[in-house]
Amino acid sequence: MTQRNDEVEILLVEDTAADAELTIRALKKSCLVNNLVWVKDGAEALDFLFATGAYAERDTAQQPRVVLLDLRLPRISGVEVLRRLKNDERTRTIPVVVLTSSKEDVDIEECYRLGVNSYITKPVAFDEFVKVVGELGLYWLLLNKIPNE
Amino acid sequence: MVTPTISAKGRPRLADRAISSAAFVKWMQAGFALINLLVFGVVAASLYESHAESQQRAELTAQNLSDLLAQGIAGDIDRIDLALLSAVDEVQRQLAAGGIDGPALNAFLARQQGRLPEIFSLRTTDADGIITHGTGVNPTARHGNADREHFVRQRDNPGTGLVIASPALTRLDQRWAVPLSRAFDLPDGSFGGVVYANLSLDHLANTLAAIDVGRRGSTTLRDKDLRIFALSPVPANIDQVAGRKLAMPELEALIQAGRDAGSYISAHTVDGVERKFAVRRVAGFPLYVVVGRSTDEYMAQWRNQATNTAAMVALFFLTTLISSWLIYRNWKHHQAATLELAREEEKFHTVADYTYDWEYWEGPGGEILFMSPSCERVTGYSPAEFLAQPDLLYRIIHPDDAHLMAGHRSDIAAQDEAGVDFRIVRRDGEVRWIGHGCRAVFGCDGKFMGRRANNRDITERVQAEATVRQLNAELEQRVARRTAELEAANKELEDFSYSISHDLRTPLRAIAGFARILVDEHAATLDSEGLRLLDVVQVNTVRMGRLIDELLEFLRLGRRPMNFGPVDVAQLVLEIFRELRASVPDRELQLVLKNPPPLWGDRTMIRRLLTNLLSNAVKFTQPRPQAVIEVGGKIEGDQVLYYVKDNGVGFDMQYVDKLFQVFERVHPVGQFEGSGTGLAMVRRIVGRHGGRVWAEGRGDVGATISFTLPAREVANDSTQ
Repeated sequence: MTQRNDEVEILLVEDTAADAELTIRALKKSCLVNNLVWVKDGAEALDFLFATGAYAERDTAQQPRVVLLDLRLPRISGVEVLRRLKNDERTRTIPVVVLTSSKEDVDIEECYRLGVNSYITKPVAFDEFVKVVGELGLYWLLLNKIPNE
Repeated sequence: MVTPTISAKGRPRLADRAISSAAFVKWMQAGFALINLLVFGVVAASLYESHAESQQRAELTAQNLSDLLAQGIAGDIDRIDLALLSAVDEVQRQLAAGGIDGPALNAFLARQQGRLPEIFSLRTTDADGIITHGTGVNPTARHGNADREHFVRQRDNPGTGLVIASPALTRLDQRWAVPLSRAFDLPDGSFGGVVYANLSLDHLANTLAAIDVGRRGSTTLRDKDLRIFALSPVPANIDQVAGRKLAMPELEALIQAGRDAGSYISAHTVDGVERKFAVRRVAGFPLYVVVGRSTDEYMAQWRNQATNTAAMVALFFLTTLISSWLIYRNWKHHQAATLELAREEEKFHTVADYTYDWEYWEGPGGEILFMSPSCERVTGYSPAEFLAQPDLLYRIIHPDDAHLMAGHRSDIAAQDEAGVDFRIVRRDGEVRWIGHGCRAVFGCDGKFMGRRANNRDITERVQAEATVRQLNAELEQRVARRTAELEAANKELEDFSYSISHDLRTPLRAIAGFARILVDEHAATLDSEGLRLLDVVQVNTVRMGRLIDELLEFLRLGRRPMNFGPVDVAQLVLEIFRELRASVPDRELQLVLKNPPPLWGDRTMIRRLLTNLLSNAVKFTQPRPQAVIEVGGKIEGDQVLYYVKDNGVGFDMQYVDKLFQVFERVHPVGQFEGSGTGLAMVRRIVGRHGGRVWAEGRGDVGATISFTLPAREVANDSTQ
């Protein structure tokens, strides 16, 4: 498996700095944060993924290997981001893992309907949190194969 | 033909419409008696008259017959007398000429006798009564006639003339005869003897018999002394009767009165039969012809007539009687039919006249054929006014609703039945709503006979409907408002739970996470008390996370849609118990199942309910070396009762109200784990199933949580 240095492996979409830090720490514990980009809301995430706005210079051919998406986001919600990703040919194949505090059925159902790849409720207890994040990172980054473009 | 009826008041009463039976019978009896009396009277008068007429006719006939006989007999006697006178002349001429020439006299007498068939002898006697000459006389035999009446009377009474003696049996001929005699004188003028003729009684009888006086009639010839000369019919005892005097007082009286003719009725006759007698004196002689006709006979015709008439009258009586009876019967039937008809009519009139609604019948030409009296109640106008002005019906329609009636008129042109609601203006100006319905009427022959209409005052209904409509509109508004409020509240609640879900957990996770990081990465700079405090922080954050989860689940229970189905409670309890026992492997738990019936409910909710109850039981029996949990139930009427009983620490009944409230606990925190939502959830689940839940407990003895669910639902279950 060859990797370029500038290749983004994980796009973390998370507005809460504490959660972002905990997530990054959890990923670090599993040594999975080589190329992680952290965006703080849905709009920024979309700019990044579709190379618009502040990320206009970005090469869209280089898409992250997984998107970790929070649902409660300012401006454009996580569900909306998910919808746009899954409705666009260019981004449809990017695995999206929803990381959320919500256990509400309506969110889970909506996300699966839109084609989310995983849906993870973030545990309150840190040990469990580290474990869950580590396991999903491992899965999506190291084990899962996506079709080559 | 239909006659308009205005009101019940104008109609004749039923009882007046038929003559009473008693009056009819009385009239009929009177008529019957009168006609029969009349007939009897006429017939009786006629019979009486014909009776008298018959009597008269019989009398006249008898009179005529007696006249006829008297004349005949008088003729006979005259002729015989003429012969006697001739013989006297001859005898006296011969005597005067010197003496009797016997053979010549005999020839003369024989010649005279030959001319008179009614006599069988014409003879002469001498002064001593010795028969001297005549047919069959032997002068030498010297037959004497001196004792005979016809001789004696001539001898004793010179100048007597003709003597008609009473009948006697002649000596010479031995035949019954009436001797007639005349005396002749000798030339010296002295009595010389008699010439006599024997008038045959048979001849007389034949003469009498020639007259038909009927089978029981009789003709008699008598002399003035009532001696019988001849009789017809000839009785068997003629020998004893002839010449005898037979009493007949009526005749005697008549003769003594010197009358030549007369009539009487008498039973004093030879044979004792009552007869009507006509008497006629034989002209110039002391003889009387008596013609008697039997009353029975001459009245026979009348009696026949009377009998026939009586029979006719009887027949008439019978006929009138039968006719009367037939008429009476017929009348009875007619009367019954009339009464029945009248009753029917009254019934239909009652049906028509006593309607509460305003009803009418409009003829094919728009004329009013019937108007129920109730029209006055509804419209204020009387039936008579409607009948007089057919357009009144349409004039009272409210001007704003005239188009409704116009539309209805065009409807009924095409439909047999139609209806319309409109307003009318009453006579007093009040506006009322009318519900009008009408249908076409057809006669038995299918002929169109107009329309029958029903008008109901529906003002109250219309007003009530308007009120209801208004209330409904208000209610709908209110419901819409409330629904909107409720939806807003629900939305708020949803947002709230969503918010809790995200926003409360995120800081908690941060606290827990960073506390852990502190412990992991900065343990060296913290003393043991610092580490303990960080541990307390972590434990409580985890606890709060659980509280949030439970609260969210509790809130979700109220919103989740119900998904009903059969639930095998016993099976479910076993499953849950097994899971619970696995979670506390070091404890000794005993489950007692007392046949809890199956139920019909939301399986997920029921599972949550039973889980909460059983885990409570497991939880609160923790101090017991042997925990006994009993689950049972039974059907009670339309409810099913379940209970979960344990031998745990129980609770104080004074806190029972707090038991089912969210986050309320009856045991101190730390003694038993728990957030206080378990029983609140139980109550919510039971409530959503339409049941009731309650608890009983005593400190340190145990607790029983009971709940009921509607049995109706369970009944459905039994078939599944």
